[in-house]
Amino acid sequence: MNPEVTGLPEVDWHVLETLAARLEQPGVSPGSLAEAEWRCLPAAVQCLTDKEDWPALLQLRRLFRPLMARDSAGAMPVFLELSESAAVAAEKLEDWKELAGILGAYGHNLHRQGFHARAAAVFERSAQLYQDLGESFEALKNRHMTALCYRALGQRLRARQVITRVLAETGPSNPWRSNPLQVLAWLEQDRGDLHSARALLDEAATLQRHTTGAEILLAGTLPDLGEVRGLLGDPAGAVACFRESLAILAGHERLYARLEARTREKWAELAWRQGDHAHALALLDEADDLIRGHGQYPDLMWRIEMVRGFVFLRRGDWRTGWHKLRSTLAYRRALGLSTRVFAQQLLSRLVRQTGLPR
Amino acid sequence: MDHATFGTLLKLFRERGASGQGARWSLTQARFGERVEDELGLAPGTYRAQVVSKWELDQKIIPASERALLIAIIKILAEERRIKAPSEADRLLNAGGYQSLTPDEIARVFTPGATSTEPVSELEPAAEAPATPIDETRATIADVGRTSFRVSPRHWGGLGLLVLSVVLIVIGLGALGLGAVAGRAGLAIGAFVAGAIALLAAAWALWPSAEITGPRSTATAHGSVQLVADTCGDRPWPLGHQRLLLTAAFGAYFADLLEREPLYVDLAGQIDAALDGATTALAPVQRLIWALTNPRGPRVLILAGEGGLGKSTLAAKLVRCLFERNAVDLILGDSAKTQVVDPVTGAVGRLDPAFYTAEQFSARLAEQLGLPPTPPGKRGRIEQARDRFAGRRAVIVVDNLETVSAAHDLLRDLRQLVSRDVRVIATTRSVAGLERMSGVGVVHLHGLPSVAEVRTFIRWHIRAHAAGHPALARVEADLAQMPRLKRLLQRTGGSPLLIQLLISDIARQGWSVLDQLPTLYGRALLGFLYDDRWQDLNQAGDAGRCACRILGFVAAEQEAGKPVTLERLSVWTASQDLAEHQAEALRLLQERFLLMLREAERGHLSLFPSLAQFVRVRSNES
Repeated sequence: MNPEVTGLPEVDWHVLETLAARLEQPGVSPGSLAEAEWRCLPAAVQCLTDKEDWPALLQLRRLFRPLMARDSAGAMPVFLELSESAAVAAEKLEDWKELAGILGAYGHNLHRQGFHARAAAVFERSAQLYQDLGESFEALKNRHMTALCYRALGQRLRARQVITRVLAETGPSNPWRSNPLQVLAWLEQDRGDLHSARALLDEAATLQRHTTGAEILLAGTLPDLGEVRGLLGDPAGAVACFRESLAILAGHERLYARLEARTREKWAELAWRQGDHAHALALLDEADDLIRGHGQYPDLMWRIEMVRGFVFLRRGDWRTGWHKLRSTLAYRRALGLSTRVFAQQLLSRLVRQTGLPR
Repeated sequence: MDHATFGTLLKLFRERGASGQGARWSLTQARFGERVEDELGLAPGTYRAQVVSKWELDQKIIPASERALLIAIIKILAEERRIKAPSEADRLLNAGGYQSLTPDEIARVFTPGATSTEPVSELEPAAEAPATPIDETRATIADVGRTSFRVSPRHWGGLGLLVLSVVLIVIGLGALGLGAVAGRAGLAIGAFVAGAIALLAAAWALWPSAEITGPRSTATAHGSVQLVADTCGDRPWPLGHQRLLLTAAFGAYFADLLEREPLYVDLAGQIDAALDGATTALAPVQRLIWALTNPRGPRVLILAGEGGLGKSTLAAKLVRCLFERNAVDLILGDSAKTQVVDPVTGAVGRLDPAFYTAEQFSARLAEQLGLPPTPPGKRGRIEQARDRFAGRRAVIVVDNLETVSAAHDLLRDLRQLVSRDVRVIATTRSVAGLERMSGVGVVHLHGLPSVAEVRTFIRWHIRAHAAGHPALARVEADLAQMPRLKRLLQRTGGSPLLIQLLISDIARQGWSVLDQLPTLYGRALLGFLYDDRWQDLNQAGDAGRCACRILGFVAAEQEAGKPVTLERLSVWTASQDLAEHQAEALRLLQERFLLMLREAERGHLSLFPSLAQFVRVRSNES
């Protein structure tokens, strides 16, 4: 501890434990608590960091780990700060396994937000740490995540190389295999092969349906499957996938708000293609409101704005459409994503009718 | 909740368009009074038109003990097919605080064939009114402004002048035609001039006047056109998963207003909304809804008035109504801060007045919109915000605008964001210079202007708070006494908060409390009443001192933005060894109208901001 830091208030662990417990209760989501109820957490993070109380910081992170692992609260500034401070703490204490786990989770949140380059670096480091510890499967999972990041950065070839290696190291009966299958499906869709994408997503969904505790993974696969089915001319099947995904997520009280928003965004794309503009806009508004409340998800936000833009353009509202597309580019620029790549993907996908840029 | 008074409903029922066989078209006040006399076997002249008029204006209250009179009124309205179902009769009676019809009374009043199970729709507020698209709304307003032509005495005079002017002009022409002989030239000129004057006068007399068409109605003032249901905005709006966003923006008090049961009473005369003249037929709150939803309405609506008049409450009602009507789907904004919370210690510190700036507000808005972390290139935040707003229908709320440094700058920034789909509602105690800004509509809140309004308000207060303060029910019988209400109006200036505080005292101690008040008004009187209560509680034993400490706790939690439930309060009182006095302390506080309790079961507690400020000062002193 830093002996020079004095006079700081002690952390009230009872209040923090009460907050963590409350967030685990049915019907309670991060957004349903008043802002004042969260104040104890940034106060605790700042206090423990100033005191350099590394064990306490790790203890604090463990207290909120279940919430941070789900995708609603992970992007909240306080949890990002907690992750960064906890990573420093683990390094100081030379707790490499803890550090690897913290980095892996931190990488997930960075990726969900859209900071793919930073996320890739974090995943790489986590993977190396696990490798050094002899935990090859954990290392594999983190390397797998780098594929998502490279794909998002437009490095499709590199992403495919990573996924191919990951699949080679994953047995066919391994339930976790559904994750790289899903990423490979995206890459196939990028290439224009929707039938291959569908087959891979069907395989992933089947694996997840037969795996206990994989329903959230299934809820994440179904929107992709719905998107592809819609592009293949099966809108009824697509809607069924979207509905099933939302039904799964409805049982989790907005703890997976980003995932729910993503499902609605994809459903909105289908509605746009079908000319049901009012429904598309309603879905997009819902998606927007889901992810505005706590933390920022620019990566999903630009997609929502993009689809909005196309809806308005198709309705003949050129001015609003222009505003939305400008907003799309603003988010992408803030994430360091190339406008040129966006234009290329847009043209390519529209021509091949393989959906909108990802 | 139906806020119409007995008098208002009586008038509406009486003037309602009759339908069906055997109905008469008009039932004048005089004729109505005669029918009541006949029904009760009273001497002619007992209930002249003036008496009926006073009933309808709530200036003369029928005592509940005169049940026979009330039933006679109902019976006549039923016979005249103005009331068609017992439910409508009950609505009229309940509006006056009278008991509903008994089965015997129903059997007596409603003869077979006259009873309908379906109340006529035009007097029923649409509980689930479908969202009215703006175009339909405009059509409704256009109907109100439609002109009509009826032959009135003025018009007869105008016709006469027209004929005279024609005659004079013909004489003038004739005089000219007979040659320009001296005398006849003068006659011609004179005739032409007189004819011209007569023509102008005829034109003035015959100019069409705008009148509301339809059945003969004296109700040209507000209330004759229903844009939205009176109950629009009354339903509590559960914040649910938006609570974090909205409490971070507005704090606990305004967020609580959005969630609580209806607080605002739409009282004519309290709202001075000098908006588009086409809306003069609308009730004041309805006019504001029109302004916020009509493309021609002001983009920025400022609600101005002293503390305690209900600005924030009105703003909350408007926001809720807009959501109910599906006129907006996004609420953003901020309550300009006068305090700041230390993130480490949680302590609440005061800020200098006018600390809050337009830049801080913009930053808050950007956070709520989820704008990118850093503005790329040279594009400003405002441009980004405008892009985000495009395609959404939003209301931006700025609470306590008077505490914003350079409020003009803030409004100027906001005006760059507003459009027909994005509006601003701001509350403020001062409008210095703001009303001259274009696109800004200013609404002034005043105290209740008349005894009738005060009576209506007190009745509402009794219904809303009698559960926590049973003695309030005794006050209702006194509401027929005009002098007392006049005195109350005079002492309070019509301030709803002051009226509520004094009525709670009157319920406990009688009307003589009004005579014991010092010669203070407005904020000074409010401070006196708070101080008086504080001292009274401190002298009320352990329970009273516990009550003071509870006030301190709730005030501190509220200022820190934390909601206070009964459960939370119980935990706190237990920690302070005050648990045994909690129940009695809460009773003392509710009797003195010092504590708002929402949701009786779970119990959300809150204080008026002015009281919270008073308590904080007192707590610091002690």
